[in-house]
Amino acid sequence: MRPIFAWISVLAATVLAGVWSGCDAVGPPEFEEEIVVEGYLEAGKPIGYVTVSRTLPVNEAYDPAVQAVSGASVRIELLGAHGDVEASWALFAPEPASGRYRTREAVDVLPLRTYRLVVDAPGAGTVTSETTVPALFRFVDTEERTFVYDTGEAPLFEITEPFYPGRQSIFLITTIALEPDTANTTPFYDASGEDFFTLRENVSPPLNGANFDRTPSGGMHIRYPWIGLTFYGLNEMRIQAIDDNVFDFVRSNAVQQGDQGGSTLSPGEIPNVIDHVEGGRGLFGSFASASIRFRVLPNPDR
Amino acid sequence: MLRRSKPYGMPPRLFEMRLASPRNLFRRRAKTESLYLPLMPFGRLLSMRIAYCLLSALLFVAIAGAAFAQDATRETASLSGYVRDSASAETLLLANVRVEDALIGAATNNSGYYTVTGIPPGARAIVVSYIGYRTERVEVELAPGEQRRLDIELLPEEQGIEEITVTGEREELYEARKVGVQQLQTQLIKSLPALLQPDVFRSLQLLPGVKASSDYSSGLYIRGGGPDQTLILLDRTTIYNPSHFFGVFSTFNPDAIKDVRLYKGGFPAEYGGRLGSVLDIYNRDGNRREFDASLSLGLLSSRAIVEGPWSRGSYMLAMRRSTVEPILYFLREADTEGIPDAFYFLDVNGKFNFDVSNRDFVSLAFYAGQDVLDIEIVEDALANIRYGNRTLSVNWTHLFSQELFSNFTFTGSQYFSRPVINLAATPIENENTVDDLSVKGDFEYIPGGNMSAKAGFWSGFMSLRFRTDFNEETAIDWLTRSVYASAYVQTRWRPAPRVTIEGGVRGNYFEEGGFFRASPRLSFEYEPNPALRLQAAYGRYYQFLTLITSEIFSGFDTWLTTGEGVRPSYGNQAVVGMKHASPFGFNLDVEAYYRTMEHLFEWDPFIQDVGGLDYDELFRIGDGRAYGLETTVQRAEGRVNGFVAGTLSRTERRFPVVNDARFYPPKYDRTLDVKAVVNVELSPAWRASGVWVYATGQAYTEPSGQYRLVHSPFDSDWSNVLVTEYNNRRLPAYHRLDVGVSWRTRLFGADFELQAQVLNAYNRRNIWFYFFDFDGEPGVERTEIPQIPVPLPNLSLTFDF
Repeated sequence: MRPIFAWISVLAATVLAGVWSGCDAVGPPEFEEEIVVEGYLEAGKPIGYVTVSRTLPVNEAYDPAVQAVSGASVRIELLGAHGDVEASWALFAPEPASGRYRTREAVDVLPLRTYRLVVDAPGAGTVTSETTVPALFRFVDTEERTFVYDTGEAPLFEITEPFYPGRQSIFLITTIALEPDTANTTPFYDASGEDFFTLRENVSPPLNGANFDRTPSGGMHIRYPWIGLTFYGLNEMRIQAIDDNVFDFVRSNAVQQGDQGGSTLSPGEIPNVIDHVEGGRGLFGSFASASIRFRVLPNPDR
Repeated sequence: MLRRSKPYGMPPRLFEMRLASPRNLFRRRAKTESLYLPLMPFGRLLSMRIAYCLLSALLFVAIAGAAFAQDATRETASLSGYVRDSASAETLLLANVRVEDALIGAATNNSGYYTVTGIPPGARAIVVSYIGYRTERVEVELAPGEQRRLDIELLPEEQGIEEITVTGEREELYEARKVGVQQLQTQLIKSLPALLQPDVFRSLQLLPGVKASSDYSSGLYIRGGGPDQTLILLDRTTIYNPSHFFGVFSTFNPDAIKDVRLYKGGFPAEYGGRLGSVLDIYNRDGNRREFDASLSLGLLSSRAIVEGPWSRGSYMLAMRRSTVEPILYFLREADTEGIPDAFYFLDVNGKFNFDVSNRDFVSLAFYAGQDVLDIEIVEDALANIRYGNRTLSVNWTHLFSQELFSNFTFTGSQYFSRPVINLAATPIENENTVDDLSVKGDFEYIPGGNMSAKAGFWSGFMSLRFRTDFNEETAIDWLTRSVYASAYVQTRWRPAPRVTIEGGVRGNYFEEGGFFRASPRLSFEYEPNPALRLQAAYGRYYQFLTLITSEIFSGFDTWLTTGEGVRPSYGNQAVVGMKHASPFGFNLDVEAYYRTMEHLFEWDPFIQDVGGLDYDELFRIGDGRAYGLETTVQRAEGRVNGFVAGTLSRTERRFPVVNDARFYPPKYDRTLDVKAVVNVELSPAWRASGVWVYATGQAYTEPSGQYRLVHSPFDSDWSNVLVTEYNNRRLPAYHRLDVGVSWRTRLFGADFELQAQVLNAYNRRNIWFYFFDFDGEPGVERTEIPQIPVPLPNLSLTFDF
């Protein structure tokens, strides 16, 4: 074969292959409606509401009333060490159209126990999820203290050692401004231009317990960073020790929503959240919580 | 005691900076591997044994071949020497040296030295060629058994612009057209339209098989590999963060560079340490004939270089600095918010050469570069960011004899990143450094006959530090120290005049984790006729490092190593190719490749806090594969030169959790890439150039559904959820045209060149990615984030004294 024909052949084959494959036919997936469950168990508190709803196409407006699932069979089971059901509570919807279900009687959530949520939605199969509740903990000293912003060492608080089976404790630390006022913001948040109501509650990402110093009495020191403070005045710090479900949901949703492919993913690469829900979506998680109030005064030198 | 805590509401990327605290990383990394040698896993022992067997076999073949060759050399002659530029005496790497009318020849090595053996005695014509130079024909009379030193100088074609002609006799660069290899001409880098300034990596992104992640990134994605899978060497020294302006440009100053060679895959045993590819860059030695200086003024950066002879050698000093300050000044004067107090990059390249004798050559090369950004983002939020690289290498080339060439290099490389951020009275200081000291030696043995061999070693000590102070407390102080060592041997065998077989093996040792791995390499080439070469190569490759990086911002790049529970990544590569030189001055290159990537250890993107985690919990372990077909038609010389390259390819990754642990195309996967580069010499004074790129749209994630958590006791930002398959769609096709024109003349006794360029000349609005916002109505609003959104002009002036 003469070289010119070889050239033409190779180039023609390349062009054809290019044209053929250049039309990358990777279409969007069809939307499939799924059941969404939402429930939170707080250690030592009564079992709260469980909300059952549906997913909807991404380009449609969300209306909780429309998405709510009524008529579902919802129950929460307390599991034994071997996965056997020790107790079971059927939930009902006081307002059927709301998709919100609760127990008929107050049932306190036991720390360090595992609960299973079972939802049978009409025509949508069974959705289940399990959570193991973190142990209770508390602030050692609950006296309300006063600090001056950005002077000396950061505020230090002590909590009793929390516990979670199989891993270290993981926390969310939320600062809630109890005296929010537009004239009362700290300098950074004043300049950030964020919405006033958004700033009222400022939450940390999940923090591993190993970061915090242990105290001689077996507790844990929480050194409060000023970046957590959005308003001067009276604030409440709420620490939530979270279970695996909340932890995975929060950290993966932070990547999905906060950055949309941030972290080390390329922009435009959006992962699903990690939800530990079988047969559906959502979050059935648990936590233990403790809180303390403290007051912060502006620094006159700043 | 190490402690850490986290700021609230910080930008996510800042959290990534403050990665690991593992307070006991050192404890778990106790250097006790040697005690456990008797207990080494059987597999590791087996791989070591295989490596030793291969090494022994190859050495035996090399020695036996050499002994056998002794008889042959008594009947034939040999030539060796340097090939240089006649104007500057700069050595030319990979230049062709061949005996006319015979299938005998060689290419110059990385020092510009060649050895041609097996030359029949008598009157012979030696033809020496190099792209951009006039082909030189030297007649010699050789006696049987003669070993002659013959240094050859080539005349640059641009010596007289009016003399430029299409070279009648086509001389392809033999070594530069080995399978998987591409050589980039510095002149091409300078002549192409470029984003603000000529850039080596931007030019490399135009080669087939090399992809860019966006218009804003100079990162190299080569044949399915990420940026950390390419070993980047500057004068034989590893560069760890080759970026300026946080990824927009590469660190390499085209004025200072002599040779850019990219091994896209299937590279030989003399290289190792990375899974995918090798970028081997050499600085210029400096003009050995006369003093020369050049100054180039650009809109946003300027360059200067001085070079000349000294004593028995030469020197070169090149400097480059961004010059955006005037623009920043005017923006500040206009009360524009968010203008940095300082924003620049600076780099300096230097090289000094000294010829100790005609057998010993010593050089010292250095590089220092830094990026600086000082900015008050908003009130009470200050960022001071410094990052850069420093390298120093001392090179000694020694000719033991005409048959035995050696090169020894002592290298030092430092990468540092030191961002200091003060957010709301909460200081956050980081320090990421890599310090790498090494010594390497390479030997080339060309005894004559049909055998030759290379062997070498590379051993060093690496120290990686990652420290974070948060709120005036040390949150992370992580120091990894590791010895690494590798040795290789490779032989080249020509069983027939038209057949070349190269085999080699590289043994790699990495102390951190105590890993030893052996990498076999093999390549084959057959020339049915002088114009056609059929090639194939296979290799196994290992990598002991991984890079935490972001496509958006490279200033916080952090390297991590293998360790306890984290084994090295490995992969196989197979390449087949065909190279054809047509009689009318065109080259046709076709290469197909398939590669695997196993045990890829990457930073787990879902980790937000590493306090108390075991080392292996920091990573997600996955695998990948890539395959493709690259076709290039190139015209390297002549008034109209350039190339058109098309690549059909597929790249896939698979990691736990993401996409339900199924293979998916990463963002930089593109099915079809077409790149056209053309340079036209319109007249002795005028030159035009153009680059057109077309690519299938990148993979991205288009959510199909959504839901909300309506009663969350946690942050409301976490209540909105998208439901989607991962990277399930493609962006619209990417295409862009860049054009440029240059005018050369003499002004005030100096050569003067004016370049005017426009990027994105026809104003294509390419999309970088989509952002999905829950605040939109109705539903989730999709916002386009564009690549270079408008035609972008650039102007530069160059004076060459």
